[in-house]
Amino acid sequence: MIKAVEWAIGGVVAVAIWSGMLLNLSSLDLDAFEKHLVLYVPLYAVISFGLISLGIICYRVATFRDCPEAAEELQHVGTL
Amino acid sequence: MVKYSILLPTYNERENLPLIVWLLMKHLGKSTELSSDGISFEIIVIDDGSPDGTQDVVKQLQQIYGSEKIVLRPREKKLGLGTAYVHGLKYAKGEFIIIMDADLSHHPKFILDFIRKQKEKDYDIVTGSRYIDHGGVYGWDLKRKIISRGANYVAQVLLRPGASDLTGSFRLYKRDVLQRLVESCISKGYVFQMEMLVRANRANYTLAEVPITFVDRVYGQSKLGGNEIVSYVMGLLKLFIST
Repeated sequence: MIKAVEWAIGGVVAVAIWSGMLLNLSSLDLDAFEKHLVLYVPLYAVISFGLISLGIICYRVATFRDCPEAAEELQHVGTL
Repeated sequence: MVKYSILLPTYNERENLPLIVWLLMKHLGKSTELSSDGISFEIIVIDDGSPDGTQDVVKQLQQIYGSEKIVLRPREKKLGLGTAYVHGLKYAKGEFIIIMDADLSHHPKFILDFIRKQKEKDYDIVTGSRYIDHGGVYGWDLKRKIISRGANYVAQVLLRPGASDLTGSFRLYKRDVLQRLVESCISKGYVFQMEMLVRANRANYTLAEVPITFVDRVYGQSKLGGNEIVSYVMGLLKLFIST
């Protein structure tokens, strides 16, 4: 399946579940904190995704290997 | 019987070409567990009408190594990588095609690793990755690394391509796999290399990665500007909606 379509379907499903919960908020047995969570879950999801992504990218940049030995090796190639 | 064809698209590489050829001869010619008298290969130079005399250098190299070993198939002007591969494929005799940069950013010694890896499970494609194991880069500052990792991350999230390094151009393909993929790809530049792997993933070709080192000798001259980033994002989005 085309990735854009996968994301669209995922998005529709997520919105459907969320609106389902929103519309029936009063009938769900939740306390005030949990109700607040349901209301704001898309925002929290986006923020979490953003933070996790940043973390992953920082980690990958930090562990990005430099290879001075490869440059060294190249230096000597023409001089043999 | 040539088993491996190395496609070398060149533009103004008169200085690097003798070194690359020498390294290829040295590493692929030696006796290894793969073959006692070296790998059977040919080098196909696809020069896009270089004004610096690259083609004269190729002809001199042909005097030394033979024109069976070093095949020159030039084009009149700079026409892009995808078409260079299509052009080279027309003359390639090998069962396997290796693509690499001709500016010494890719070290020929890794080709043996590609070959070994390919034989493990008869992979359709083996690609070099700068991001895994003992792979790496030389000559990149922090900004370049951030852009590279950031761009790669976005591509991973959006496209889930099944490979860690998408924009690299040091790869080994089975000949018919390369043929079919190149015919179906339409992007240019970095995105072309990405598109090849993404389409390969969608077509269920088997792929393996091998760590490689990349010595960037061009970065200092060609800054990664806003333009390149914009065209990368546009290319990514096009792939997002079409693959």
